[in-house]
Amino acid sequence: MKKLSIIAILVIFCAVFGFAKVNTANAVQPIRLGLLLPYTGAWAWVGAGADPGAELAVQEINADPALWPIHRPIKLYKEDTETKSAPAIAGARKLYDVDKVCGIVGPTSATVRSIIPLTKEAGALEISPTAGTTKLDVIGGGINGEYIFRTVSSDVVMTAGMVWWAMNKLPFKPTKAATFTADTEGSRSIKGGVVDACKVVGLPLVTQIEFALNQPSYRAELKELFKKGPQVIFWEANPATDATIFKQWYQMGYDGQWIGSDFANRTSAKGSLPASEGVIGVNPGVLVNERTNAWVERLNKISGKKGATPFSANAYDAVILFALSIEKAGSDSRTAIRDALRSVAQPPGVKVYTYAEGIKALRAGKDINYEGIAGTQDFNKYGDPITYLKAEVMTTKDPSGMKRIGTVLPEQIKDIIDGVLAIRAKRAKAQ
Amino acid sequence: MGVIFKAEEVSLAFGGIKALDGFSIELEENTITALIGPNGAGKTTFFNVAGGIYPPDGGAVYFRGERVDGLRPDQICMKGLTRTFQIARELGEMSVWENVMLAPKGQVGERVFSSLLRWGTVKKQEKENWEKAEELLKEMGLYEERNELCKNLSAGKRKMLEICRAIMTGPELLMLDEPTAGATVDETKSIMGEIERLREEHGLTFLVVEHKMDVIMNLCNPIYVMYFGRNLAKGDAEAIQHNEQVREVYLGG
Amino acid sequence: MEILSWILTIATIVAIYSIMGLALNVHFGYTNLPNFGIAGFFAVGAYASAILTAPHRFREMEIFAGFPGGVAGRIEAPFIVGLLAAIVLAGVVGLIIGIPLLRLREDYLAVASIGIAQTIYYVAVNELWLTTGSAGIRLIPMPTGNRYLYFLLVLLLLAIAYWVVNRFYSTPIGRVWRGVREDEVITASLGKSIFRSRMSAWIAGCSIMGAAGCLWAHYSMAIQPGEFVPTTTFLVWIFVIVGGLRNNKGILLGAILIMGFFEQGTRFLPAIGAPYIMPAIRLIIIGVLLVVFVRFRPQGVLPERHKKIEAHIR
Repeated sequence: MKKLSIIAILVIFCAVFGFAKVNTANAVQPIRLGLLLPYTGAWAWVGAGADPGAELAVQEINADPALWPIHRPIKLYKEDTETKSAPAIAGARKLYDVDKVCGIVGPTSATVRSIIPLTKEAGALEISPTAGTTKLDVIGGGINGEYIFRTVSSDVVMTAGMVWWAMNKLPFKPTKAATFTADTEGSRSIKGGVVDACKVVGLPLVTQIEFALNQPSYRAELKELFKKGPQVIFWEANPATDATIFKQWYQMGYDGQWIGSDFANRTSAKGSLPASEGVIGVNPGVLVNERTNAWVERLNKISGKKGATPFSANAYDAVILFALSIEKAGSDSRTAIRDALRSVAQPPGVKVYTYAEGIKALRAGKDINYEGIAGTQDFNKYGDPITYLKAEVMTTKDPSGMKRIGTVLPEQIKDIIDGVLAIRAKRAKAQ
Repeated sequence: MGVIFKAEEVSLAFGGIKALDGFSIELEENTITALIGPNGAGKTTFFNVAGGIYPPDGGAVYFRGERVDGLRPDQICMKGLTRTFQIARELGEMSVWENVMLAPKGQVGERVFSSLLRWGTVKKQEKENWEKAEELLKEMGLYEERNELCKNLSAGKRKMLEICRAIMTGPELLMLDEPTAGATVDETKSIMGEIERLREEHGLTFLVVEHKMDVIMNLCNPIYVMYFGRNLAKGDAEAIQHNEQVREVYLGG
Repeated sequence: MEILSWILTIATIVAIYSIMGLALNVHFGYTNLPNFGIAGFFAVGAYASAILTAPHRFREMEIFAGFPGGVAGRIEAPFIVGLLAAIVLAGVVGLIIGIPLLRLREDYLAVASIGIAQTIYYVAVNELWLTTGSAGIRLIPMPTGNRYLYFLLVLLLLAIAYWVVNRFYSTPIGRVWRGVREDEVITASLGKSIFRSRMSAWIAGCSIMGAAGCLWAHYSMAIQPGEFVPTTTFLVWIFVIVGGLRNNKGILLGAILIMGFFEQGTRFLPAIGAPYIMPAIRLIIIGVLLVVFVRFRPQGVLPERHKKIEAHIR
């Protein structure tokens, strides 16, 4: 038995590491780029959504050998995190140590915290296309603007957009607002952002209510909410709860403009219309123009699905940024790429909208500023970008339940975001 | 010589069937008492009550003057009363020596921290216990099988092992439920010899349920006869053999 | 050299999981307590240590991000305090849970233990003041500062756990536990309290799982409730059953085979089709492997080995 098991181990060992040696004999050594996503586990949908975006970017980069970054194609090395940190660490280690990737695109907020120390040790660049929670806004422990960046914006951006919309796009100028949020981490993250953003713009919050999800009645909470007559209510719950809230709000005959986050989506609208007619949601969305429409079409050929899959634009931008940084750095050295990122992503520099445009400009000796599909991808000092936001309204007039009524651009909400970050820095110092 | 064990009017019903119906028994110290009766008379049920598996519905059980009915099996064993089972139950996936060494009381290594930290004491105790066990296994003819797994033993050997295990708990009263069932003639002899020896040398008291009449008649005095959960008769071998009622219900009279 | 770094990472993870496997052996292999709540005790250990040792900086950042900031980061205790707290607290939680749970029959115990792990998971998600919720705790310090040295530390603790669990097997307490496993009625009639024996095995195993949790927290340097889900539990069960239930060497072998080679080694196989197909196939095969072993070789690759008395007494 002992012998047998030792032999079994040896056989498996050889079989496994035999494969590791197979794919090294290429004429042109491709640039190795890691893609670390949850392909299985609780957040498998994120991996499935982001993957085609990264694939599309690689396809476009490799399409013309004349435009290869540093004259080498890019090859993606994919690892699964299983949405758990043990496999994520093992996967990231394999990417850095065995596949010798020059950097990593990924992973999600469920596992990114365990990967950060590895990236730091490797001296590499990591761009997460999906980790959005405000818990990662923080220097060092989270997205830090040195080696960890993200191409998805934090909740601070979304809440700034919500508050900006309330102040600038409503038919009236609100003087009293309220928050109405669930007691989950996600909703608290939204509430925290709204509270700080309201402080920045000087919109008084007269009432702040937290509630438990999935209750049969919210009449008591609604009565309390409207006691002081807020004109705008910033809320986040879930679709099932939204249905109850809006029906009871409608029956009770209260006024007020509801503004929600990315949870104010089609599922929620379908459950709560027609009571929720006119409710607004402000959340990430690609711009509506020829460029993005063409991009979505190209993506659909790869994903086989209609429309932009979740986080595909963010993953696409991340890979493109890597390729441009490599060209700028002039090598695939990890640290050089890391140091080059900001100089291709943000001002000053000529705005470029595609990879081909960008690399031509770089070769012409110009500084560039890549404007992505998901956002302008101009990173602030914490490595956070401000992505495009869209505003939608719930209405029975649109068959999907929601109609797009506008776009929020980064330059419009930049001041609010800076104000929120300043408030937070001050608060942290005071503690 | 005094009464070591006493059961008074013990009764126990299982859903309307009275397995024990006011059964009483008294055991004198340093004797071998037999309990006989036809199948279903309630002998094993009485063992289970005395051993703490079932609390009785009524009556009382005393051991050394102390009430023990209602106590758990392990508490009763710790007081000095060990019983065996009619159908030999063995700890099959454990070796013979482990079975026997499981039994001794007061093992320091049965506590988590002591087993890790008090290495010397544990080792010393193990050696002492094994000396006793070794001797016992030799006498009972189990020494050769000491490293065997119990599940590989013959029925007779299992019975022997069960008795060894019970003896290793260091009891004052041993209640044996059909100790020679399934044993060969030779094994029966060594079991009987061991019982007699323990009574003489160590002053143990025995209560034996048995179907082999020759074993009973040679070994035991007095003999209690049980019938439908009640006392039917009590006396020495001679008296029981000549008791009309007993002959009728039991001896096939 | 770099491939060594990767192998070391896998070895560290395998070693930490092996410690949980050894603890499961105390529970199920020795005492027949089917614990399907391993992830729960793993979480208790991880959180106990993380909360105590998280740096003040972590708390400051929580506040920066607009959250209230809880216990984590207030104390900033050294690693050894975290380790001891993890062991003790996992034991205490085991004791509290064990009081009602250990009176149950094995099959009910199995079901109830899943529920307990789920409860612990929800506590980790919801008790913000204690656990900081679903984003978990980060910036947990690695005590050696260097993962190569940390591997040696993990190896040392694995060796200690192995020694302890092996010692349990052959000392009187292990005999009592195995007696309980084989036949409770007999063991009770030999003067051993069944409840107390089950409880001591339960607490010992839970504490070892807690230690594993602590080691994990300081290795990954960031923990979140999402890691402590039933799949973690089942992974441990699978390698324990494949490697050899009741045999500590078998458990180490199982951990190396299943977690090392099968889970991680297969990352080297070429991708087939969509990127999620290989990982999914891997999980399916592990499931099939479990079924095959339970059906055809329930004792695992290495079965229980019984010590001879001569070797024991020497």
